[in-house]
Amino acid sequence: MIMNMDPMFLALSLFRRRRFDKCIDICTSILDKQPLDQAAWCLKMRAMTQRVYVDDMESEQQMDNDFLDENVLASAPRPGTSMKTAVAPTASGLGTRPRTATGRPISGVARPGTNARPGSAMDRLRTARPATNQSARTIRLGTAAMLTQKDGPFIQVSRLNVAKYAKNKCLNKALFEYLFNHEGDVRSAMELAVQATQFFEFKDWWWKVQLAKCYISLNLIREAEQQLRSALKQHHHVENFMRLARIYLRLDQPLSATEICKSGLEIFNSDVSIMTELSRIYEALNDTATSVKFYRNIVVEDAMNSEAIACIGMYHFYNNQPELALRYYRRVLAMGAHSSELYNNLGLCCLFSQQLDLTLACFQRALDLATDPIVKAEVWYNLSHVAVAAGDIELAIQCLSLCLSSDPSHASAFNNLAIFHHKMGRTNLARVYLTTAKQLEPNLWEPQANLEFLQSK
Amino acid sequence: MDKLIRPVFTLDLNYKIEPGLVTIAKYDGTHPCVTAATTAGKVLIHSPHRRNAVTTGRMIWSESNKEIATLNVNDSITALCSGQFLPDNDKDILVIGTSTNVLVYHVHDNKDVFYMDCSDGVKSLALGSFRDMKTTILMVGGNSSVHGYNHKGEEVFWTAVGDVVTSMILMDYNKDGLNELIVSSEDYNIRVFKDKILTELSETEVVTNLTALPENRFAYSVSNGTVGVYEQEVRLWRVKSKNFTISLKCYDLLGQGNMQLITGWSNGKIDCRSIKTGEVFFKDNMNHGLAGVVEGDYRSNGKTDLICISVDGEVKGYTTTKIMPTIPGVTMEQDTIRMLLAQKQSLMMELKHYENNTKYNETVTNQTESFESQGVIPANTRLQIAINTNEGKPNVKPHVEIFIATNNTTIIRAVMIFAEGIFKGETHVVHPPASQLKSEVSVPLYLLKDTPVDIHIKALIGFPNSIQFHVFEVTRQLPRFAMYSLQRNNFPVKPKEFVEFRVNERLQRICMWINQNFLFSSDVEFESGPNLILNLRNLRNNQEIVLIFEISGKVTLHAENLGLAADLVQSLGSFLNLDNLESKANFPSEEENIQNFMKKLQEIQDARLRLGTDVADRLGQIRTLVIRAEDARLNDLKEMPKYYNELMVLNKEIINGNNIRLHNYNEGVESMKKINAIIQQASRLRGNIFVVELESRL
Repeated sequence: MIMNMDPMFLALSLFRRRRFDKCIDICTSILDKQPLDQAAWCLKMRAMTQRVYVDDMESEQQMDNDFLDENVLASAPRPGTSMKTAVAPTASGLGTRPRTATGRPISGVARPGTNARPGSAMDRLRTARPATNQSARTIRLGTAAMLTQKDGPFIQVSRLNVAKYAKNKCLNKALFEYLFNHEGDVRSAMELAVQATQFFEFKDWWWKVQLAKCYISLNLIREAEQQLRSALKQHHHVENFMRLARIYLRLDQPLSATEICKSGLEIFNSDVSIMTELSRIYEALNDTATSVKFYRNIVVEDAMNSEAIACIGMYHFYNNQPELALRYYRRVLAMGAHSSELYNNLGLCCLFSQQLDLTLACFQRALDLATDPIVKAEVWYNLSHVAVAAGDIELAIQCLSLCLSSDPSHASAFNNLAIFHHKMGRTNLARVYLTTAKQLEPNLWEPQANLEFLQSK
Repeated sequence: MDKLIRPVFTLDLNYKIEPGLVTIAKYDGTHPCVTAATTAGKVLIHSPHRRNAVTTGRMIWSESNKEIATLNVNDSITALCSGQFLPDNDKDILVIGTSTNVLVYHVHDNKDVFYMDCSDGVKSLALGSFRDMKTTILMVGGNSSVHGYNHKGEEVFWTAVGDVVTSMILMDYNKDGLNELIVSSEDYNIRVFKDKILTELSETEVVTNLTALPENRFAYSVSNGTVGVYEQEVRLWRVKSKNFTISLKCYDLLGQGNMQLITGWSNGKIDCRSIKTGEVFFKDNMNHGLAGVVEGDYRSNGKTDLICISVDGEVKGYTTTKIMPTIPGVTMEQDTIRMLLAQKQSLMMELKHYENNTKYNETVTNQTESFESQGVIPANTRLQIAINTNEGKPNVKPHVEIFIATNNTTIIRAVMIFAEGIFKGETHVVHPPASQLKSEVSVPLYLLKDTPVDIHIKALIGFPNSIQFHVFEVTRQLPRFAMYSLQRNNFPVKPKEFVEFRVNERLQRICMWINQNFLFSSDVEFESGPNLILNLRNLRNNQEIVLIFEISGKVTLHAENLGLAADLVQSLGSFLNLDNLESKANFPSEEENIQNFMKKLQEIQDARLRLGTDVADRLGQIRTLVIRAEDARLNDLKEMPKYYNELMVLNKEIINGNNIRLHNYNEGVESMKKINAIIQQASRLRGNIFVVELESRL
């Protein structure tokens, strides 16, 4: 029966059902018969683009390359006006939130950019992870493209007549997306975009946004800003607001970013994406109250937004309301999230809300689900707190040792281990652990204070 | 007078500062911060009050830079300016101009107000109110134009200036309660704009600095070392020095209740002068050239101090000293006596001379020869001066000539001519060799610009072997259009470029204008006939100019040169007190030029975009390579040279690319300048169709 169907129609249907591989195969066979069939050519491009498409707004790769990057204007901005110099919150009941060496909170929710290890970009780069503007994502896409094309690339980019296609309304956008997302060839994509904007007499906002994307990946931030601003003047679009806000974040001007987001909210009342962006910025600025306000608004709009729910939960947890936090986390669990981190958080909430029967069960699950050694280490670290709460120092020491076996660079674990050993009377061992902790994370003040305490004795 | 005013504070910024790029602003609304551009393309903000601020967050201000924060600009800074810009916001905004863009930056909140590409470059910035606009306007002066932006970054004002803008101020120039824009540019002019050009003042060299002074005056400094003060069109005073001025500022240093003009010089000298007379009240020296002089409450005591910053980063603060530097009574008396004695002596000398003179004139009335030996000349000696146009001979360029003669046998030993802007320097001396001394001298002048010039002539008169000479001083005014000679017969063809307009004036009045502004051997008079036709020849380039004044009031000026036509219209307009003039112009060649330039500019802009992305792409590659090389240094030493070699190749490419870009940029600036020059001149033909058409096309 399928054989009787028009192959082009079939391909379209497959494309709509997101069965891209099959769609590409059919398109290839059509093109073999009629090499100049533009419809098939376009559909094949679209399918190939869609197959590797990644939402770059939510991708892990937040290009925060401070190495050789001089886009940031102020070297020492006033606290509270920059991501680097956020105001430290005052300590509340449960103690301060754990932070990385750079002052970013560690716990909360996993979101784009938080998985980066502390340290400067140069340190991160030593781990051989390419992190320049032409980042891992682009490289990966490039290899993905090569794998699937047995008989040479689908489009010879170098032979492409960019000027001709730029004027073709039906093909130019698809071609751009193909070049940008599938081939990862920003230069050619940009040439196409430049010619297309000129052809449309600078009246098409879409091309401006694409140009801005190209500029961003070439690290020409200011040019990108101009394009986006001009695009925003022509057309209000959520994506434009968010991209512009991202640009200001990259220039380390969070206040400008929030301003853009707020002006976006005036047009798109209570838009979830913009509010998410806003609450993330406020959280990065350590303005948790405002951040949670926006998260609450998000939940009003979208009751299934797990990021918002988890963040509200975390807010309650650090505000001495573990019972409330527990409710939010359980809601996330009920929505189907099933991860080590979530069980870990649930376990902590149970511990602090005195529901001890569930505590260990939760941590058990967390350990079962933890595959990443770093996550595992964190779970063991938290378990050591459970042991402390139970008054079992030997158990706590064992937990911490297990934590260190998973992640030997866990400074806080070394610090706590030192304290327990000191309590057990092994002062010299404690001193060694404290020194290690201090070496691992010089910014952590606890090992320093403890060392001074030992010294003064 | 001794140094009685001493600095109240000194400190060192430890940064090299670009001269002229210094400003002060209250970024948080209360505390002033000296802000300066460093030679390394950074802007430094010095905030002394930060010392007391609680360190918040994890930011630790190190001991050395506790008070100094820097902003990365990554481009050479060409202009710096600060002030309140946003409506309903008392915090000062910093404006940074580089060769290609302008950034308006809210320092306190660390955010951009706006960022804008300025293809015309940024040479000068000014913030203030303008005309009757309610909000503050940011004026950006470029290579050939001035743009005005409001706080949203919208362009609200635009005008063409003939050349690179060197300085701008916004102040009330003509006492009408509204601010005018005063612009100085590299064509030696200071222009005052309102809706159109109000006044044009010419200087002898490039005017580098302008500062508004109280009572509608403004001070200016010229690149040849002159400083002066204008009150409207009247120059109150000027002085010249071999150094040049970096910064001007008005401040009441002596506590006199009114302001004095503080001048910072390139050799480190600071002086304080009276605004009205230019008399020096106080002087001090810094070890290095001045970078800027600003005023602000830097000691948090409620009073503003005068802060001088040198290029080496040295900062000195002075404050108002209430006690006038009084000299003890005794010395004052002695000084006065000495002065009076000197005066008496000189008067006695003069008297003696007069006595001698009269004696000779009385006793030896008919013994002319004896005059020679005595250095005395007959009392009836007169100096005759004639100024004419000379059309030149095959080997002599056409010029304006000043003919000086005496009415008897005395000879002219030398002639000194003082005039602004027609010679290199300001003085021209003619002293014929002893063998060719005659009782007449003619001095050729080659005028480059059409401006009226006052010529001060000093002639030394005597006899061939006199030792002493008499000095005759004469002042003459050269009319504006001196370099044009009247032709008796009509030209076969009139130039096809022309301006046409209508004035309601009698031709006799126009004749008056002609006689005042041109240098003809005899006055032009209108007898009868339908029209008055003047055929002129430009002595500079031999171009022909035909002026036709019809009895109906229609005026047609045929001139190939757009600038000249504009000058003529302006001059006639101001003579006849015309506020508005409808004119029709036809300059096909200029129009063609402008079209060519536009086309060229478009091409250059296209190329610029491509070159820009090229560079950015290479920069990305360089980053990857640096990291790879660094990685190889740690892990795989053999690979390292490969990466570094690649890096070197890339580096060379990028340098080449940059040279191309620079060339491209310069060409762009050049065309832009030419376009703007044409527009500016065309606009001086007053509101004609040609300009309107052109502006719409831009």
